[in-house]
Amino acid sequence: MEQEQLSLWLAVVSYVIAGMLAIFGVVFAKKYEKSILFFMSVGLVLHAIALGLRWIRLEHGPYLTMFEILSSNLFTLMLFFIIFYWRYKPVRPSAAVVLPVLFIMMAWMMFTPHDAGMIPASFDTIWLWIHIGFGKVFMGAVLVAVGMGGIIVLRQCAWGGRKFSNLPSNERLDDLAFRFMAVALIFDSLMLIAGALWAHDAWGRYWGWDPLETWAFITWLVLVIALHLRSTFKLSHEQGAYLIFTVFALGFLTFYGMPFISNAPHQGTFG
Amino acid sequence: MNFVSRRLVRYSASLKLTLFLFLIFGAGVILWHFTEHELKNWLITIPLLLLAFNLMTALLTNKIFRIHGWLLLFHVGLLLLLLLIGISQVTKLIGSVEVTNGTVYDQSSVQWQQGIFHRNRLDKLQFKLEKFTINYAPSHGTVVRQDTQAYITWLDEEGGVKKGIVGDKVPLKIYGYKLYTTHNKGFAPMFKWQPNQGFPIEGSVHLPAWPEHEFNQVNELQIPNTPYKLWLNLKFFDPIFSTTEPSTFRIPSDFTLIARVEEQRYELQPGGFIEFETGRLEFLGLNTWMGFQIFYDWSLPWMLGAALLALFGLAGHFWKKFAPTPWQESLEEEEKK
Ligand code: HEM
Repeated sequence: MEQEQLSLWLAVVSYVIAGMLAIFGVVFAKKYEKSILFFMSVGLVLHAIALGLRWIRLEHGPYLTMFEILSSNLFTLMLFFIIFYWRYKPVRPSAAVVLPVLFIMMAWMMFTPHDAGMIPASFDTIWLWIHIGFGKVFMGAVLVAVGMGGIIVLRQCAWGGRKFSNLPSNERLDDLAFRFMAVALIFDSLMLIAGALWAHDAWGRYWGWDPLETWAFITWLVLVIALHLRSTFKLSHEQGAYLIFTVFALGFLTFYGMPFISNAPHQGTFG
Repeated sequence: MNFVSRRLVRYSASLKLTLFLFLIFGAGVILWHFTEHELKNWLITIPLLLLAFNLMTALLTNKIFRIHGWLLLFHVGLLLLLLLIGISQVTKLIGSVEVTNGTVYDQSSVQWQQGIFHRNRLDKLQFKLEKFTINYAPSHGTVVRQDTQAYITWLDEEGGVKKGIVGDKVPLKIYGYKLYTTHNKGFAPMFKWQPNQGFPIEGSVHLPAWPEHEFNQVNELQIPNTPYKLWLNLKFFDPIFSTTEPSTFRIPSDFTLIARVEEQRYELQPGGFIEFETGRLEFLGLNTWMGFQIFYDWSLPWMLGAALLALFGLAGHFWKKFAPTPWQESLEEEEKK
């Protein structure tokens, strides 16, 4: 238990150092890229240890309580971003946008009670993994797009224009962002399909418009609207960025704002 | 005329209309949650119908779909999906029924909603709930529900007797209906009403689901064909589940059924009775009931197929769009300029 806490804290500290370096790097025009990659990776390993220890202790994966969901999503978002950071060198300074977004999640996670939860019978299925896995890729892809959008928006002010001047043009950033949004749509769709199949297995209905399903659907719809808007109208890059933020915010609310374990239908209780 | 109809097609196939309809659809879904109106499903149905129409005219007239086969496949998949959702809505049935342990299913206690074209055959179903077990496991100071097994005997469509165990992910399938066990189950006091003149009747009262309504084990009993109404409350202190050992849902070994008739209060044990002017009500004992979810929708596998087809098309579209120019390369090209 203590080791678990310790490695979680150390992981967060590592992430925060990486984030601070990313911000300093942009502000003081310094290249800390290797160190940032190092601290993110160390944080990820420590985080994996914390998750693993908890898994062994509670005998179930991190998908029940708010704390577990925040923690495991922070982990996969980090993982996704590290891979992106490693592969897409020209846009590495986007870490200065992405990591602070993740700071919010970290703070939230640390202030959420770390208690154990109970597993409903309906969680004993492969669909859990498929559904959640798709969801994580979806959020990871949108997070990368948020990084691109963040730079586009920051560049609107003179300061941001200077600081991010040697990054690719807004046009290229927008292009990259919407490639990731395309990936996001595929995985969001897969997540909804897997979720519906799971719901059918677990509750004998595939779609019931419960609050979680509704928000997940609205998120999907807004993502579709964003893509359609972009191909129907000539959107400016900033407008594209705000669309990305909206999708991210909705996805975030769906994952964390809604009670995660939706109520099974309570029909036929009395009689 | 030709001019007018061409304009009409152009408007109805327009992508701006699509966007507008998306917004209407989203708004409809949200509004749906804030109303209890009986027609509320139209908030979702109408935008979907309009979207389907919009999509269909676009598929027929927009040239882009002739150039981009993958995009076409994707949108055709979507149209199929919309169509199937529509068909599903008018042919499906969703319902629930509570069956007392050891008794046969009674169509009159089913609550259901069905599409206008659903051929209702709930009256054809014949099955008996022989018994059921629900296992619980201790977990960090509380209990967690595990597997449910319901032992069912039923008549299939040819009238053959079948026996089987259904539960959690294995529904009972008869006449195209799927019946799933649910977490809804509870206690059922059983009674025998012996009128001074006439035949006795037996029946049970389903108390609210347990343990969900653990502290509200109350219900009313209106004795059929009499003015007598009883208020019932089940009391027991025997913990059904153990927080340290595996346990199963069962009838408490020590319980009292409190019955109130107007101002009179009775404490009943099995075999206990209450005398009325026109007859006598005997408390036979405590039984259990299981809640089943009833589901009929033949379109499901087709919907899954359409959704996967659409997704396949979408993936193909994006692949074709992005793969020829990897982003890094497009960047280098820009730098060269
Ligand atoms: C109902 C759900 C719908 C979804 C999820 C959807 C999704 C999409 C997506 C993802 C694209 C590709 C955008 C890109 O390449 O970046 C697209 C393009 C397109 N959609 Fe839809 N669409 C839907 C409905 C419709 C409807 C109702 C119409 C009817 C007008 C329509 C017409 C088009 C057209 C014409 C394009 C090509 C636009 C272009 O690239 O210029 N879509 N759609």
